[in-house]
Amino acid sequence: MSAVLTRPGLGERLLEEAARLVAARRPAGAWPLLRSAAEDLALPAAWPPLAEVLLLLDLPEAVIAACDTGLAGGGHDRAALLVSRARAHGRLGRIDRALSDAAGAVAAAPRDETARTVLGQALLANGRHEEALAVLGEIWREMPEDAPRALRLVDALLAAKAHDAVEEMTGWLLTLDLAPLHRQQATALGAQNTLARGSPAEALMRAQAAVAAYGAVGEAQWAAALHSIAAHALIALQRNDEAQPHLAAAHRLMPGDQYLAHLAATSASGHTLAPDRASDNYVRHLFDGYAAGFGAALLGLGYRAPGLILGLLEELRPSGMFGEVLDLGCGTGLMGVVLHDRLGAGLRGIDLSGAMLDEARAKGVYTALARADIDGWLAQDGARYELVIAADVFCYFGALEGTLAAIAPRLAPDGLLLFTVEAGASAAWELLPSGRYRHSEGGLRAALQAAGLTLVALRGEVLRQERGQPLEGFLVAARR
Amino acid sequence: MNHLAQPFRRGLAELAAGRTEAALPWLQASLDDPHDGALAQLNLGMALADLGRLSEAERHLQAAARQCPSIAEPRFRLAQIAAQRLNAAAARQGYEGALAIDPCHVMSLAGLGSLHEAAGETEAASRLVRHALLLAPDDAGLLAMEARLTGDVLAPLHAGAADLDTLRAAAGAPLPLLEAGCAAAPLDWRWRAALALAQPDAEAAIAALRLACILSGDAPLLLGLMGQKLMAQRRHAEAAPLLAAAIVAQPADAGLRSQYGIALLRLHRLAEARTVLEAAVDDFGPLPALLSNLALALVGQGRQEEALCAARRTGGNVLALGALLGIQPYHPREGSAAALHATAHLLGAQLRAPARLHPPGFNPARRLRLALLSAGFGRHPVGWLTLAGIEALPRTEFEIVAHSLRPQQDALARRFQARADQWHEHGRLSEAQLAEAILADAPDILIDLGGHGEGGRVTVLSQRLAPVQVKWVGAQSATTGVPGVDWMLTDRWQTPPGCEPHYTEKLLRLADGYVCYTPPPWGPPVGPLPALRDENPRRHVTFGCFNNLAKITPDVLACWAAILHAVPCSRLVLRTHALGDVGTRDAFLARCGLDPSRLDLHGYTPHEELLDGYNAIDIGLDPFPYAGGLTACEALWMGVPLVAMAGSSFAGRHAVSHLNNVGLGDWVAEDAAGYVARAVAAARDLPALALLRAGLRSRMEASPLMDAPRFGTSLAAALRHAWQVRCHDELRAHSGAGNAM
Repeated sequence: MSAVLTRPGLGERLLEEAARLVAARRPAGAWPLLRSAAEDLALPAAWPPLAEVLLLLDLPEAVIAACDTGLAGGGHDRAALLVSRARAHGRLGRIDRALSDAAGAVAAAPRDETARTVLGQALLANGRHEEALAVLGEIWREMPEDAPRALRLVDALLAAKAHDAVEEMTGWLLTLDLAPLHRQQATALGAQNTLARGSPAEALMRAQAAVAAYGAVGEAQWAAALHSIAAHALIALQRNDEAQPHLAAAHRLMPGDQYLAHLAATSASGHTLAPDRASDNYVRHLFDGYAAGFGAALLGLGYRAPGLILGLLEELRPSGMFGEVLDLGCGTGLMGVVLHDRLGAGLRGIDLSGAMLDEARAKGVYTALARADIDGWLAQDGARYELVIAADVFCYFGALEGTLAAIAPRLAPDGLLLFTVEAGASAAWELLPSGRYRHSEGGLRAALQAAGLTLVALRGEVLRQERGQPLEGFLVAARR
Repeated sequence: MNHLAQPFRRGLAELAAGRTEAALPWLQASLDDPHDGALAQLNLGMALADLGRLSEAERHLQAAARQCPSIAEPRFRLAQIAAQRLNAAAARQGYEGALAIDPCHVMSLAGLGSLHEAAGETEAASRLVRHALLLAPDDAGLLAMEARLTGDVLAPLHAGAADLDTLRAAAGAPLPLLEAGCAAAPLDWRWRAALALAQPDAEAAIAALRLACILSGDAPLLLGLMGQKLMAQRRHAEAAPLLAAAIVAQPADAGLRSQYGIALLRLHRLAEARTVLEAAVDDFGPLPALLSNLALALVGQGRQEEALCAARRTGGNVLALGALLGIQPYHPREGSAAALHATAHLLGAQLRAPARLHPPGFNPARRLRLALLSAGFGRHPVGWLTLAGIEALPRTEFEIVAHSLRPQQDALARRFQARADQWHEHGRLSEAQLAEAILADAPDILIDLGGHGEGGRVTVLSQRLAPVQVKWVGAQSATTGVPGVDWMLTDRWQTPPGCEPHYTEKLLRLADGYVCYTPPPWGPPVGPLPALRDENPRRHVTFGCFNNLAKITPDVLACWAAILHAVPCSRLVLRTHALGDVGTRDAFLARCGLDPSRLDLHGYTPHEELLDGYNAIDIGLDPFPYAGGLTACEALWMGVPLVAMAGSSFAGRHAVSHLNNVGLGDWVAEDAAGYVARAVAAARDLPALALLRAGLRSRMEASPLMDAPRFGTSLAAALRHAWQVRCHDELRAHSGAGNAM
C-alpha cells in the first residue's frame, strides 16, 4: 500500500498511544494500533515497536515476519529489529540464527546494551561459554551493582558450570541492598548452583529458606523456581513424598508450564509402578489444559526438538520439497511451522489432545489433523509417507519395538523416520520420576533393528534446558 | 416570523446554531409570552432533553402537551424520555398518543418500531418501519433498522450508517465478512468498530475498539463503548475519562451516566460520583442500580442517614436488600444486630428454603473436602484475615477447593493458590452456573467468604451446595439471612451468649478469635511513642483512626470532640481514601464539629506508607457501630492500642474480639462516656502507653490473633464439629425412619 489518504497526525497518534500501552504493560492493546500503522499506513517506524510487542505477546513466528518486512522496507532502527528477531529465533530454538541476528544488531549499534545482552545470551545458547561470559561480563563491569546485569552474568556462569564463580557472585550480590525480587532471584540461582554441583541437602535448605522469606514476593516464576529447586533436591535425596507439595505449589504458581504440570501430576499420582507407557488418558488430560501456552512453555524451556530435526533433515535432504509427511504427536504444530518451507504435499498431524489440535489447526500448516493415539492410528493408516516425525513423543513410550514396527510399513521406499528421545545409559528404557521415559542407545539400535529399520544417524543432543540444566537426548534418523 | 417576540426568536436562533445551552435563558424568558409561550415550553423541553436534563425537560414538555393538544411533538418527546428511562410501557403509550394526533409522525413510528424490535417482535417492528419509510424514504436510521429487521445486518454499514444500533447489529455478522470489510477499507472506523464488538475476548475487543476510536478521531459513540468495556474489566481509571467525554455528546444515555457514576465511585471521587448519580436518578428515575451506587457514594462520605434513605428506595427484592445490608451496618441506630437481622430476614424469606443434601457415606472422621467461595483471595481483608488459618489447616484432614470470583495475582493470592488442592477461577457466572460449578466437586463443607458485599455471592448457598455451609470473613457484618447457611464462624467476643436470636445461622464459636491475622512482609518496624519523642517536648498526644469515612458517624465525631476537648493540645489524624477527594474532605470538615487546626486529614497512601503512618499515632480511636476489623489488627501490629466501643452487631464487635485476643480487653468501652474516659485515661499515662507500645507487636505475634498453628487446630476442630453434627443428624434421621417402619 503506497499512498494512503488519512487524517494528518494519525500515524503519530497510533505510535504514541501504542507506546503508552506498552509502558502500562498492555502489549495486547498496542498490537492492533501498531499493526494498522505498519500495514495500513505503511509507516516504517511502526515495525520495530510492533516486533517488540509481538515478542511480549510471545508470538515468535510473527516477530520474525514483522522484522523481515521491516528490514526489507529499509530497516528503520535496524538494530532493534535484529534484536527482536534474534530473540524470536532464540525462543524457537533456532540458536544459530539467533546468534547471527544478535551479532548483526551489535554491528549496527555497537554500544547498545540490549543488543550486547542478547548477543551474550545467544552465545551462551550456542555453547560458546567463554565468549558469552566475556560479553556479559563486560556489560556487568560497566555497572557492577546493577542487579539485572549481575543476575544475567550469574545465569551465564551457571550454564557454563562455573560453580565457584556463581557461588562467589551470588554471595557478593546478597550482601548488597537488593530489591526483594532480585534477592529472590539471586538466592534461587545460588540454590540451583548448589544442586547442580551435587549438594542437594544444602540446596534444599537454601531453597526452603528462600521460599519462607520470599515465597510471597516477586514474580510467580521465581517463586515457582524456588519450589522446583526444593522438589528436585528432595527427589535427589530420595524423599519423593516431601517433594510432592513443592511440585504442586510450583505448578500452581506457573500453571502454564508444561514441565511443572507434568512433574506435579506424576508425583501426585504416587506412581510406584513403571508401566510401559503413560496412559493415553493421562497424556490427553495433561496437555488439554495447557494447549494455549504449550508452545510458549516449551520454547521458554529452550525446546529444541523441531529445530534439531529440521537441521538433520537439511543435512540428509539438503534441497527439494518433501512429499507426504506424518507428524506423530504433533501437539500445537511447532514441527509443522518449522517444516513449512519444505512441504511439497500433505502434512498430517496426529495427537491425543483436541485442544492441542485446535492450536495446530490455527497455524494453518497441516492439511489433515486427527485426534488419535499413535498405535491406533498406525494400525489403520494405509498411506505411505516420505517423512515420519515424532518430536519429543517417544518420551511417553517405554518399549518402542511395537510402534517402530508399525511405522516401518508406512514409510515410502526412500522415506525417513526422524525422532527424539531422552538419553538413558543402561536399560533399554526406564521410567523417570518426571513421569517420562528415557531410552539408551543400545535399546534404540535393537528396537530399530527388530522393526526392520536401518539406522541413518544417531546423535547425542541437548533437547532443552530444564531448570538451567541441559536435558541430554538422542536425535535419530532411520529408513526402511 | 415577524410576530415572534425578540427573546423567543433569539432562543430559536441559538438552537438553530447548535448552541443548545445558550438557548435556554431566552426560551425560559419566553414561557409567559401570550403568543409564543406554548412553543417556548416545547422548545425548552426539547433543548433540556437534548442536554440530558430529563427531569426538567419532562415538566416543560408536559406543559407543552397541555397547551398544544394538536401537536404530536411534545408527546413524542415525552415518550422518548420514557424510553431512555427504560420504561417501555410509558414510552409505547406516549408514541401512540403522538400518532393519535398525527398518524404520519415519522419519528413516533420509528420509536414504536424500536420498542417492538427490542421486545423481539420483529414482524410488528417491520410493519411500522415500512410505514415510516413510505413517509421518509431516505431516512438513514429507518433504513438501517429495516436492514437489521430483514437480517441483512451489514447493509447499513455498506450504506454508510454509523450509529450504535448499526454497529451492534453488524457485530452479529460472520467474522470473515467483517474481516473482509475491514480489509477492503482498513481505515474506516465503522468496520473496525463492528469487528471489535464481535470479538469474544474482552481484551481483544478493547484493543480493537481503541484502534477504531483513533481512526474515527475519537467519535463519542466509540469512547462510550470502550468506556463500558473497560468498566466490565474493572479498569475504572481508564474508563472514567472516556465515559465523561462520551456523555458530553450523549447526555441522555442512562447506561453511560450510570457507568460514569460507578467509575467515579470506584476511583473514590465520591463527591463527583454523588452529583452524577443524583442527577441520573433525577433524569432517569429511581433505577435500583443508580440508587444502590448512590447509597455507596453517600455512605463512603460518612453520610449514613442519606445513604440508608437511598438504599431503602431500591425496593425490597433480594438484590436490593443485599445492597441495603451493605449500607445499614454503618448507621448509628439501624446498624444494630436486631435491625440487621430484620433486614436479613426479609431477604431470606424470598429465597427458597433448600432441600437437604444426602450424599452417601457420612463418616464423622474422614478427610473432608472444603470449598471456599470468594472474590477476595488476595490483598483483601479476606486474605489478610483468613490466609494463615487456611494454610494451617492440616492437609491430612482437609482437601481445599477454591472457587475464586475475581482473578488476582498478588503475593497473597499466590499463597492461596499454593495451599489449595484445586483452584477454579470463575468469570461472570449466573447463579445456576455457579451452583453447578461448586456442586461439581461435591464439597463436604462450603465456606462463603464474600457475604452480601461487592463481588459476594452468598445467596447461591440457598441452593444447598454442600451438606454443611458456613459463613466466615467477607462482608461478615451481620447474619446473612440466607436459608441454607448452617453456621456462622465466630467467637465468644463477636457473639457472646444471648446473641443467637439475631442470627439465622447457628453460631460456630472458635476457641479464641474468629480470624488469624497475616501481617504484610513490607510492614515497617514500630517506632517510639510520638508523645515522648524529643521533637515533642510538650508531650502532646496524637489520636488516630485509619478507618473509612463510612464508619465515622455523628456519634463517633461527638466522642472525638469530647476527647480532644479533654486532652489539651492533642491532635487527631484521619487517613482514608475518601479524604483525598476534595469535595468529600471539604464537606467533612464543614460538618464534623472538630477544630480543623487540630486535625490532620490524609487521603490514599500506599499500604507501606499507611502502616508507617501509625508511627505518628499514640492512641487509636476505633469507630462505631461499624468497628475496625483489619484496620484494628494493623493498628495493633504497629504498636498502637485502640479504644473501642462494644456494639451489638457482628460488625460492631470486631475490635472487641481482636483486643481481647491480645489481652487488651480493658480498652473496650460499653458506652460513649466510657469510650471518652478510656481514651483520656490512656493519654494521661504516657509511660504506660510507651511500655505497651514497645511490647505490643511481639505480644500480638504470640497471641491467638496471629498464632497460625493454634488457629489452624481450632478452625479444624470447629469445622469437624459442624461435620459431626451433620453426620449425627443424618444418623438420627435414618434411625428415626427405621423406627417408623
